[in-house]
Amino acid sequence: MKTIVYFEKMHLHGCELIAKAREFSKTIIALCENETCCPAAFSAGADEAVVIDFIYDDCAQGDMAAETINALAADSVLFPATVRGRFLSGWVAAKLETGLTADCTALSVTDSGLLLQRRPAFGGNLTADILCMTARPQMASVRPSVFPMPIIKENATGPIRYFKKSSSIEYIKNIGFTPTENRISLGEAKVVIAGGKGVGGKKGFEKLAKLAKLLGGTVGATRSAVDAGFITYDYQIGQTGQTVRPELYIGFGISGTVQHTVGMDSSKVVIAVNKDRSAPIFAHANYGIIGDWEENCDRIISALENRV
Amino acid sequence: MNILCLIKQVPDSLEVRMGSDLTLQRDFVAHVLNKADESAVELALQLRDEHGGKVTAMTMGLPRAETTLRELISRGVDEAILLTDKAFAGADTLATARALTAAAQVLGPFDLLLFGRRAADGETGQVGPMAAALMGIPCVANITSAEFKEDILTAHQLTETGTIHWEMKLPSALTLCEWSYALRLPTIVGLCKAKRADIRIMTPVEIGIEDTTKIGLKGSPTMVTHVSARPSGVRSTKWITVEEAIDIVKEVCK
Repeated sequence: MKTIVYFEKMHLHGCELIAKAREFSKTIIALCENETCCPAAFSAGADEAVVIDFIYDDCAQGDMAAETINALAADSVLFPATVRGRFLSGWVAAKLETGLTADCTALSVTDSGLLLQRRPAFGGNLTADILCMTARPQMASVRPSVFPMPIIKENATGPIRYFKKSSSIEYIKNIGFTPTENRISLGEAKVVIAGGKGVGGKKGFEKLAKLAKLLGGTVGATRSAVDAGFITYDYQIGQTGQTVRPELYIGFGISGTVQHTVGMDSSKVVIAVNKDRSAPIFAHANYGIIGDWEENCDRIISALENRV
Repeated sequence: MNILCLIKQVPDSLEVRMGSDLTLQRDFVAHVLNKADESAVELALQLRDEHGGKVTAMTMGLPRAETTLRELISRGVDEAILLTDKAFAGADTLATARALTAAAQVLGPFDLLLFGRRAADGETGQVGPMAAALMGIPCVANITSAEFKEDILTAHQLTETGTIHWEMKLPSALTLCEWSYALRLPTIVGLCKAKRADIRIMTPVEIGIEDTTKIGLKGSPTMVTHVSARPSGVRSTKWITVEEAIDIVKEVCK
């Protein structure tokens, strides 16, 4: 299989996709938005890098990516499912009139040589295997950190080609950026205190934040807690949120749908607190406490407060 | 401003079974308007109230989606279109985007297409950007707010690291985040209007699609080949007391 991995300029998640694609691809082309991406791409296992321009217009970038991908005639194309990468993947798939599977959690190749794409469906209650039979390329997007980041060696080299687009339409104009208020990012947090719908509301999350602060960590949430308006989307962990890999994850009032657990399974030590002994979250936890979330949270908070 | 809202009726619960043909069996649960679509409709209504024009809501789905469209009329939407036909069924994101853009071209021209950023059931977030790409119009996804002034649409996009501000000319498309705009309540006048409203039902031929191999299950490049129950967990739990938990927490975070 000949696979193209789209490599965004702003982050290294393309490396995760290249390392994964190495398991089932004969040839891997890293489609880079800047030549600064190339050493990391080669280090992760790309055979060749194709460099296109970075355009401050995601639609025009999508046009250029589609044109280049079409010219490279690959069997499959992988995109990182960042907000921008996911937009580009949709734009490109429509331009090439081909199939696209969002947020894959496993990728492999079938006996007949097709890209087998697996994704949780219906809030993670089901897992679907998806194939793109006839249209080409077979396209998939993958959330950052779903596949492990390979070790990046500096100064890796390989053949580089440059693609230039003659003219491009201006669709949208970037007029500024406001960074999110400064706080510990979920992806890098060493301690994550996560809450589900079971914590009952905004007040519950304030309590979790208190515990998180005591441990130098940050809070996280399940999709149902976010959907219920308990906390904002940027705290969401899971298939349509962020992936966390902390030293310690404590989950309160979380049932444990796949939608959530795909985002926390790489945590080192997991403690889950839930009233329901049969809650699926316990199958993803090293330690389980059956009981009321708040009572247990209060006990841990007071034990830690008395420590100092 | 002539605005088209592309909306979807989704199951109220995500405990939905698959049929033997591996498409979703949607008949056994209540259905509601997708959360993110509420933001799209409210933004449309606010832009219309400020700049004049018309708001049309359109969905592709089963005949029962009519109830959601009527509800939107009670909340202030001017007109509603339902794309329903066996040939539309089983569509993936590309086949859906093709049908919606075909209908938008027949019913339009529209100045603005508004979508929810993703549906609560499929959660792909692909249909909006795909439809815009097929139409070749500007599109920004994950919008939390937008304003229109002096022929320029300004939209604010939520990303992993912050908010990017974009400007564009019309016609264009946006996909809205959940919770960005709280959808207004129905009014008495709206409820009366909704009761009498004529929901226009359109078939593939009426939206200019003669070749039904481009839509529905037949027109979908992706195929669900296997569905399995949730995978089992990666760890085996040891049941502990809260005192033991406190010791573990202290040990890990020392």
